[in-house]
This record gives sequence, C-alpha cells and structure tokens, in this order.
Amino acid sequence: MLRTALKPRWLALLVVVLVAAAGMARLGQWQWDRAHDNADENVVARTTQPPVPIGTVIKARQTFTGLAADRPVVAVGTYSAADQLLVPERRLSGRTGLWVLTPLVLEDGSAVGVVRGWVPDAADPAGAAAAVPTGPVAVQGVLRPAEPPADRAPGETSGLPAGQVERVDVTELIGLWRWPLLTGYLVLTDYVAASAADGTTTAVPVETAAPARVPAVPEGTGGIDLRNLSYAGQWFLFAGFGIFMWWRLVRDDHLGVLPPSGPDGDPADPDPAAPEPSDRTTPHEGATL
Amino acid sequence: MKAALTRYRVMAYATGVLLLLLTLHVVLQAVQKDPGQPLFDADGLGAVVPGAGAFIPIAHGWLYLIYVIVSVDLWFRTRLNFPRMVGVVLAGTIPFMSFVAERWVRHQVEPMLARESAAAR
Repeated sequence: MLRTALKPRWLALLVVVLVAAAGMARLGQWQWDRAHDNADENVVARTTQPPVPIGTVIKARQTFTGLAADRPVVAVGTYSAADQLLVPERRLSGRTGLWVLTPLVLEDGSAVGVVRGWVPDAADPAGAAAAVPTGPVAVQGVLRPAEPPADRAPGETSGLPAGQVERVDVTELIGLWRWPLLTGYLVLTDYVAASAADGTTTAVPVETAAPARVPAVPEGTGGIDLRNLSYAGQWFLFAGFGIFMWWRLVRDDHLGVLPPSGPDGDPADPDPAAPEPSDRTTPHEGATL
Repeated sequence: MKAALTRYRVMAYATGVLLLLLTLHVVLQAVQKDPGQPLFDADGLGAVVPGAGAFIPIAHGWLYLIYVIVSVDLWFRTRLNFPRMVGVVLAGTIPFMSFVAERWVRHQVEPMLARESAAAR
C-alpha cells in the first residue's frame, strides 16, 4: 500500500490534494472568523481611532453627523449625580440589566449623557448616585447618536419607576436635565488624566463601586452567525473529503481496481471489479503519467 | 448501482432547486438593497417568506455537500470518466447546470444498469 502511495502520480496528486485542502481549510477558517465576528468592521475601525476632545467633534444642539458616530473622544466635566438615570432592558454578556446614564456637565455649560456602565439590577450600589465620581473628570468614551424616541401612543407613559428612562433619547432627556444637551451620548471606556488650558489637571477618579463597563463595540446581537458557521464546517469537510478521495484512489490502485485513466478511458467499463494485472505488477507504471 | 443513481438524481434535483432559490434570493437582495448598503444585508427572499434568508444559504450548503458525497459514491460504483465527473460535481454550483449534469449521468449509467441486469439473467 505504501509503495503504491509513493508512485509519482499519486505523490503528485497528493501535493495537489493537500494544496487544495489547505486552501479549503483557510476558507473554513475565514468563515469561522466571520461567524464569530458579528461586530461591524466599520464600527471597529471607527472606535479604534485616537481620541480627540469632544468639542472638536460635536457641540450642544448640533446635528449628530456620521463623522461623530463611534468616534472616541475625551470629555472633561463634572458629573451631576443627582440627575443620574437608569435605562432598563439592556444586555451585557447575555444578561439583562440596566445602563447607568449620568449627565456630564462640560466646561462650556452644556452636558452630555455618559453611559458609565451596566448594573444587573436597579438596586445595585454601583447604580446609585452615591457611586458617581465627584469633581472634574476626563471621560474617554465613544460617541453614539441618541436613540430614537420610544414608540408610544399620546399620553401613554413608559410605566417605568422614577429615575428610569426607556431610551437614551435626547428629546426626552431635555425635559429631565437642565443643560443644553449634545445630540448623542458617550459610552465610557476609561477615565484619563487631563490637563486643562488654565494649568489645572484632572486626575483619574477612584471609583468605589463602578458599574460594569459597556463595550465600545456593541456585542453582536445574534451571537454566532449560523450561516458562516455552517459554511466553515462545509469547507473543513470538503478539505477532509479531498484527502479521503486521494486515499481511496491509491487504495483502488493498490487493489488493482482502478479504471483505465486518461480521456480514452472507457467510462462504461462493464466489469470494474476485474483486476488489471499490469497495475499490480509494474511498480513504476506511474512514470508513464 | 441503481440505488446510488437514485440517490444522485434526488440530490441533483434538490441541489438544483435550492441553488435556483438561492440565486433568486441574491438577485432579490440586489434589487431591494439601498444604495451603499452591503449586498447581503438586504432581506432577499426573507422579505417574502420569513426566515428564508437564513435558511436557504445554509440548506444549499449542506445539500451541496451531500450532493458531492453521493456523486463520488456513484463514481466509485460506476467509474464514469473522471474529469467529466469532476465537471458533474462542479455543475452543482452553477444555476441550472446540475439538471444538465443529471441528464448526462443518467444517460451514462442507465446502459450500465441494463448490462448489469442482462448479465445477472
């Protein structure tokens, strides 16, 4: 069997099969990565830009442009803990909890909502006003456009307890907060140390009870993409199948049941089981390939 | 051999029909998509039959895999011309061509079956 496999024609075919199998495995790997990479690549690219001061991207009451979306920015200001809100029905790592949304009053007197993080329930101490860092902070985060208003009939309320809002909707926040608002919100990624133009510095706050950070790139909604996963499996199976085919052909040659090869080969060989003695007796027959 | 031919023919039709649906799906996606939107983001047939957008590509992928396996199984039993059989396998990826391939295979294998039963008699 091994001697048959080492015939030049089968070695040549093995090279072809292995190259093809490697290519298919790569395609399978690519589909596998695609299946697990639900995050929009454009979002990833935008969120990994170097942060810039928030004022250079957007100011209060300005239209939220596409350039501002997912832009990493640094906003220096002071949280207003008393105005903190919770946004229920938010998922993080497969669990449903609440976003902690705190207004950050900027140096120009306007404010931006900052999603400081996620808490599993409304009673969590990290979601309490007492846990909000005091004093000036420099928030590094990713800008997101304000969410559209919740779809409700006139007069209908969200039914949420006080201190909770259904959406990060600026038109609703305007009624709750007293500052001119930016038309988007920030997802906190980190606190940074910043020095202002007047020489004062802003230190990184020490948080006693911090809510879990919300990822800058939204988690994939559907989890693993079944179609890509399916394609990945098929590519791997095809790769394995090619190798199996090679083995089968070598075995047939070894057993002497291989049909005459080449374009002249009779496709309708009436008796494929009849051994071809020449195949078995001349080990170097492959040289005629 | 007869059963292998039947398996092959069933799979050739199934793959062929699914591939036509898949083609229709992609064409629909191209028609539906907004300018600038990636092609595969559109609903395609999913807009007509809910869930079809997810089901058709997955189903076609696995059916094609089975098609390849039954084609090769048929080849091991019939030893049809090998390069042509490669063509038959590839035909499953081209709309309408699996029906053409199925015709060719049937015309090749049916005389073999006739000879087989004649020899058995």
